[in-house]
Amino acid sequence: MLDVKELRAGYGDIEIVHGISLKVLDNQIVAIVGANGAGKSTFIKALMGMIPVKKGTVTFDGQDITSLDTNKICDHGITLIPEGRQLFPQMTVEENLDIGACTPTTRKDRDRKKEEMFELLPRLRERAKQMAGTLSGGEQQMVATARALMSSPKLLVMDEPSWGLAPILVTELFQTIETVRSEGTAVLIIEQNVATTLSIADWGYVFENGNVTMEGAGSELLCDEGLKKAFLGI
Amino acid sequence: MLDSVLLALIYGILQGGAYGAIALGLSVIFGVTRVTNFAHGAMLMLSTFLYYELFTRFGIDPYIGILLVTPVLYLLGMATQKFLITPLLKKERGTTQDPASLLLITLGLGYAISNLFMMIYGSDYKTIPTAASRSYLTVEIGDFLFTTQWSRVIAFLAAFIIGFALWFIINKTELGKKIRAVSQNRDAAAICGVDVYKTYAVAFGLGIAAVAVAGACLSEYYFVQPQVGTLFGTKSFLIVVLGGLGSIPGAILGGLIFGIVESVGAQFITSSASSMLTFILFMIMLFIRPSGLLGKGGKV
Repeated sequence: MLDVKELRAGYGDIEIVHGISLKVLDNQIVAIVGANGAGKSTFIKALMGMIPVKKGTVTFDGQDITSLDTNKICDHGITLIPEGRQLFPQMTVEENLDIGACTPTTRKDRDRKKEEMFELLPRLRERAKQMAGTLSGGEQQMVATARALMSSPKLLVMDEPSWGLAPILVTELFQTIETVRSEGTAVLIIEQNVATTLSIADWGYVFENGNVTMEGAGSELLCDEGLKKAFLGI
Repeated sequence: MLDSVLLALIYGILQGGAYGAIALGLSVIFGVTRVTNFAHGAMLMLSTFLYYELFTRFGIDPYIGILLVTPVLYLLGMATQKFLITPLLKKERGTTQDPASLLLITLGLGYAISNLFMMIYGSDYKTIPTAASRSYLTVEIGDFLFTTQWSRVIAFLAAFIIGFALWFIINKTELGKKIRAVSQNRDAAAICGVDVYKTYAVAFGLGIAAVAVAGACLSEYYFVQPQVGTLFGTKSFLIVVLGGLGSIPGAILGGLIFGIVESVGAQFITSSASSMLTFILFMIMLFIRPSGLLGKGGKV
């Protein structure tokens, strides 16, 4: 489904991601783990067309989407839940969801999808008319998730979704991720929460200094001694 | 004395409305694109010359001319964004440079338009002798007598009409939803599938269309001349900062305050010194409330 080959990217003249290759297959949950500064977020930004790709290719469902404008990448069926959620704070929850399905194709299904999101995350129905900026962190994460799902993406990319969430909400979040996958959406997730993430991931990549240093099935990586020492502190 | 101050206050309010009408477009453009359009005044001036030509060649009153000039200026605004600003934005995407070139390009465009019109029309002051500019409103209460051109009253009302139209588009339409989303978080809007650059172009077009409407009202009582743009352009910046960048009511409120200070101030000191008052007011504002009276952090 998603096939990234030898991707290089960075800011200005500084290269941060030095040729990363990564694959997401249909209906998979794929995790990217790594320390701060490993190039995870830069990789995602380049993938989503938010910064230019210097070298390498990104193919999605057989089509070359390298360096397309971000909204065009969204049209291909990839949406992102960005780091820090990035809601539209002075718009209502409902309007935030509306924007999630605002292209000519996605807009047709808007009302049906909105209803679906209210079913999946009932809290959002109560908050529908409230400004997104006034919500709690957990509720904001729900809005971000629902907004990204409004366009019925084939691939959902999540950048640090558990950021700032209470532990109980993190558990709920991971349940939501599994629900999303069971409904046919593949997930690419970056997380600090290495243990939980790898335990639900089909495949995992370890980033270090802008390179992939290790990859494997989530459960295998979890057992890897080096990784345990580096990230889990056990 | 009291009468003359009261008169100055009324004239100030009327002129302030016109200032607000002109500043509205600038505020919306900044609120959405984060670009300070230094060509705003020049585009206002350009529109007044179009009204002038329509009137002298075809006898079309500027109020009717709005129907022709506004769509043209809308397209001009869109083109400015699309062909001048967006290419620069794309170039700077993913760099850490400060986008100084964005400021300079609209400044350059403004000078280019002003000088082009100077070349074509020279620096003569022209007027458009329409019916409205020659009909007067007179209010008499006891000894108090107040007279003004109807066209000034219309220019004042135009601020509220343009303001309402912009508010309606931004807050009550699907297009407006996208405009607000882009204004509040450009990257997030893009990942939701909003074509950010197209939205910028539309917002820029709307802002310039708004100034075209204001231009029609202005040309009904003010002279038409290539340097007019600089004067109103500069005032618009001060007004928008005073009222709050990106805020629609802020632009009108800022315009009113500006007009009142200028007009009432001139009762006590010379009118050039009263212009200075408005600049001082502006600087004080920057210190005590940099986001402006009704600002929401520069968002529409």
